[in-house]
Amino acid sequence: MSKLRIFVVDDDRDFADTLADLLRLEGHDADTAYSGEDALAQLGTQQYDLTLLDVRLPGRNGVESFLEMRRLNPNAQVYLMTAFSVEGLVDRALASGARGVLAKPLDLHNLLSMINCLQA
Amino acid sequence: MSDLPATRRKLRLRGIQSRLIVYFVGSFALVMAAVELVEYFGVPGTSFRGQLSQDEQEATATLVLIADLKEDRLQWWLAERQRDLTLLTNDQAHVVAVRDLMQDVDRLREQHVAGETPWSEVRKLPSYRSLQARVHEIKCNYGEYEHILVVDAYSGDVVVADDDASLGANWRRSPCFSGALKTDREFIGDVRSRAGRDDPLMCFSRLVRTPEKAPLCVWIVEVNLDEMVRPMLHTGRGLGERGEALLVDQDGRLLTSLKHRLADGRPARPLEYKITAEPARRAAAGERGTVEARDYRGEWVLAAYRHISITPEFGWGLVVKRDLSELYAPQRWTVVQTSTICLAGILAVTGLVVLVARNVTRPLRALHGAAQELAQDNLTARAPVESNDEVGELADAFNRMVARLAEQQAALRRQERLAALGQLTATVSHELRNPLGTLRTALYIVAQRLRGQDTSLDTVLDRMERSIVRCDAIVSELLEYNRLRPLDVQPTELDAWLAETLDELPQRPAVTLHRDLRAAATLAIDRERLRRCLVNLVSNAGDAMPRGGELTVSAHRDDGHVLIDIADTGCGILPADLPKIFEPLFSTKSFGVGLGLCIVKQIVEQHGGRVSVESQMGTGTTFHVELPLSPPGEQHHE
Repeated sequence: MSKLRIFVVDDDRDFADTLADLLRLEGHDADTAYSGEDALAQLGTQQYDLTLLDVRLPGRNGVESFLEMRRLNPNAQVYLMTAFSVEGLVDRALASGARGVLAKPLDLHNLLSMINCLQA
Repeated sequence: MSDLPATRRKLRLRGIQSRLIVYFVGSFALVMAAVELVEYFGVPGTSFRGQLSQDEQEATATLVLIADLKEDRLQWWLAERQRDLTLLTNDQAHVVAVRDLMQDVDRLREQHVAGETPWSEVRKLPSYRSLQARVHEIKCNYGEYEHILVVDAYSGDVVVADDDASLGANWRRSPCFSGALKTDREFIGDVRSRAGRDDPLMCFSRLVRTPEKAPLCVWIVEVNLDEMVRPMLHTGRGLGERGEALLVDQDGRLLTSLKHRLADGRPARPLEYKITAEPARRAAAGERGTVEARDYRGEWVLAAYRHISITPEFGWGLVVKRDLSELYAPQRWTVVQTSTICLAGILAVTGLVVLVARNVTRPLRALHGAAQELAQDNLTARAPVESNDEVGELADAFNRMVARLAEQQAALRRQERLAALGQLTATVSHELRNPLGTLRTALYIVAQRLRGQDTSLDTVLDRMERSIVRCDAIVSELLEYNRLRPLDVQPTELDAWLAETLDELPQRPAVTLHRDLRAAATLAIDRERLRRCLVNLVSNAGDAMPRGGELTVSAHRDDGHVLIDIADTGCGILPADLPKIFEPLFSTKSFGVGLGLCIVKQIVEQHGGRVSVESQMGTGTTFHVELPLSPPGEQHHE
C-alpha cells in the first residue's frame, strides 16, 4: 500500500485537523487548508493524489474552488464533502469532473475503503 | 367582551332598527296622507272629485234649490196679488157700490162750495158706510194688505179705504194711480216709502171702468214687503244659523230687513241702504247664478242670486246666501277628525313597527355584537341563532366561520411555532453535525490507538461511540423532518421491495416477524424515504415490545390503493394519546425527539397517501399506511 498525499480543505479547523490526523494514522500524508483561496495557493506549490473539499467554504465556495483546481490540474482527484444536499451545485461539480460527493458526517469506513481503492 | 361603552353601542345598533321604523312609519304616513288628500281633493285629470268638491257641489245644489224655491214662491206671491186685485176689480157688486157712492159724493160736492168735497159728510153716507165696511172686511179676510183704497179715476181722491182716515187723500201724483190709468191691466208700482213712513211698500192697482167703458175708479192695494214677503224668505232651516235670503230692487236698494248688522255695526234700513256686495249687485243687474263672494258684512258667503222681473221697468233681486264658514264647518270638522284618526293610526303603527323592528333586528344586532367582539380579537364570539331564516343562517355561517378562524389561527400559530422551531433545529442540527463528525473521527483515532492496549477502556470507548451515534441519529431525525425535498420516485414492485427492506432491517431479539405481502402492485415510490418510514414504524413496534412479541407486516390491494399494515403485540397506545402521536415533538419514549411518526406521516402524505393507527391497550397497535396506485402529479424518474 502506497502512501497517498491527501489534501483536506474545510473551514471547520477541528474537523479538518482531525481528519488529517486520522489519515496520517492510516499512514498517509495529509495537509490542510481552511479556505478556498488558501487551498488554491497551496495547490500552486504542491501536488496531491486526493483532495477532500468541503462545499461550504468562506469566500470562494467549494465548487468554485474545485473548478479552479480542475483548471490548474485537470487530473486532480477531488471529492466534495457536504452536510447539505445542494443539488444543483453538486450536479454541476459532478458534471465537471469531481470524483464523488461525500455526505457529512463522514462514514469513516466508507472513506477508508474508498482511499484503499485509490491506492490500488 | 367588547370594550365599547354600552350606550354608544346601542345607539349605533339602532341604525338599522331606526331606519326600518322610519321607513315603515314614513311610508304608512305618506300613504295615509295621500289617501286623505285624494279623498278630499280628488284626482286631478279624472272624474273623481274628492270629498271637498263633492261637499261644495252639494252645498251649491242645495242653495240653488232653495233659491229656486224662493223665486217660485215670490213669483207665485206676485201672481196671487194680481189675482186678488183682479177679483176685487171684477166683482160687479163692487162696481155698482162704488158708482153709487161716487154719485152720492158728486151730489154732495155740487151742493157744497165749488171744488170742495165735504168728506165728513161723505162719511155719513150709507153707501159709503156699507162700502167701507165691505173694504175693511176684505182687508181683514185677505190679511196681506196694509191698505186697500178705491180712488176716483178723475179726481184722484180716495173715496173709500179700509181705514177711515185715508178718505179724501189725493193720489193723483202717485205712480200707482197714474200707472193704472194707462193700462187696463194690473199695475204694479215700484216699492217706495210713503211720506211719514219708512216701510217698504208696494202697490198694486187696477182701473175699473163702467159698463159703458168710462173710467170709474182705481183700486189700489198696498203691501208691506218687509212684513209680508220677508217671512216668506226665511222659512225652514235650509240656510243654517247665519244664512239668509234678501230682496233688493233693481238699483240694489234693500227691500227687506237684514238678519245681521252691517260691518260697522249699524242695522241696515230697507229702502235706505243700498247693497254693493257682489251677489246683490248681480241679482239687481238681472243676472242669475251662484257665486262665492263677500256679502254686505264683508263675510265670505256662498250666494245664489236671481232676478225677478216684475215689470219691464223694475224687478227684484233675490239673494240666498250661506256663510262659508258655517257651510264648511262640518267639513272642516270631518277633516280634523280624519286627521286625528290618521295621526292616532300613525302613532299606533309606530308603536307596532317599533316592536316588530326590534324583534326582527334583534338577531341582526346580536350578530353585529358578535362581529364587533370578533373585531376586538375575541375568537370566542358567537352569534345566537334564533330563527330558521336568512338571518339565522347568517348567524350560523358566522359562527362556523369564527370557529374555523379560531382553528386556523391556532393551526397557524402552531405552524409558525414549528417553522421557527424548524428553522432553529435546522440551524442547530447543521452546526451540530460538524463537531459530531469531528468527535467521531477523533474518537476513531483514539480508539485505533487504545484498542487492545487497555481493555478496560474498550467499553468506555464503545459507550462513547454509541453516544455519538445516538447524537447523530437525533440530528439526522431533526434534519430529515425539516427537509422537504421533492420525491424521487421510481416504479417499484411493492411486495419485493418490502421483503427486501424488511430483510435489511436489524432484528430485535424475541420479536417474531410475520410477512403477508400480497399487494401485487407496482407503485411509483421514493424508495429511500419510504424505507425511512418503514424503519421508523418497525423500530417503534420493536420499542413497544421490549420483552418480545410478534410483528406482522402485511400488504394488500384494495380499490385503487395499496394498504400496508404494521402490527405489533406491544403495550398499545393510550386512547388519549392516539390523536397526538403524529404530531411533531410528541414522544412517549425516554429518548428521541419524537419526530419519527411525524416524518412517516409527512412522507406518506407526500406520496398522496394516508397513515392511520389502531391501538388496544395491552393487546397491540396496528399502523395502516394507504398509498394510492396512481399518485397525483408526482415526477417520475427512470
